[in-house]
Amino acid sequence: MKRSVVPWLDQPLSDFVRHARLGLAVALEPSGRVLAQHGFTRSLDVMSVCSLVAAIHASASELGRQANGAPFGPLHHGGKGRQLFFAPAPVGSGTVLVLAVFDDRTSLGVVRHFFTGFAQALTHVTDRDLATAPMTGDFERDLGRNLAVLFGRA
Amino acid sequence: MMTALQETLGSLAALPGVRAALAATESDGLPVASVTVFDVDADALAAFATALFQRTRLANVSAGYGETRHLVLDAERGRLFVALEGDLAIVLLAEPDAAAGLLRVALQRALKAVA
Repeated sequence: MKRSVVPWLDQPLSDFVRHARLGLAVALEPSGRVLAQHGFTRSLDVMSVCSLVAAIHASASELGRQANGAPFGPLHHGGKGRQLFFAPAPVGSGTVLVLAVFDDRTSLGVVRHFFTGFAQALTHVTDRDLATAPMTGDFERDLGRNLAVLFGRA
Repeated sequence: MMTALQETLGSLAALPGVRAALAATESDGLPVASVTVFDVDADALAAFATALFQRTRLANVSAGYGETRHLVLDAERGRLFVALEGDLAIVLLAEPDAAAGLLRVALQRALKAVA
């Protein structure tokens, strides 16, 4: 099963998952289109997560703009057994959103540290590289195509 | 509380050979307060020192050795000391030739002071 629909995300996401001991991870565009995933076994789960993350990002960005004058950065939610870390990483002139799910095998400090490395690894990605995941303009079709690639149906 | 913690860390950081003294939450691995020399990444130190302590603590419990009081790690170019009180870990990063005994005693006193 492929983990990424864009080659420039493969290694950075794989390193982030391995070093930070993440259980689940998904990288997506702010629109909600999935770019890479780790740990999910069902495309439906990825689709739901991407929709929710895109909505959270849009809400948090707007709240940040209104309350703080700029979009909020990383977000952490500590659950009982599992925790969520969600952060945007600048890529070219765009942004990649990353959602990481982890448990007590690691800690927020460790996840944050390796996210910095992940974001650093994406600083060399150019807008031309971004074009390796072209959008057709049809969101449903793009999302479906990327999920098919990630779950071995393409 | 923060002033007392900062003062305690300041006195630890003033000991000979100490490069960084910080307090961090053990569960999250995030720094609460720190006094470090300029080239020490307090966020990374807090994350990895607490992760190491957590792993050691789990290993000791699994082995039946009971609770871990403190951890000392000697490396080629430095020494790491970690001690825990509740969820608060105090971490010292020192030069390899720093007096380990003195630092251990100072660390235990600091823990009592901030407890």
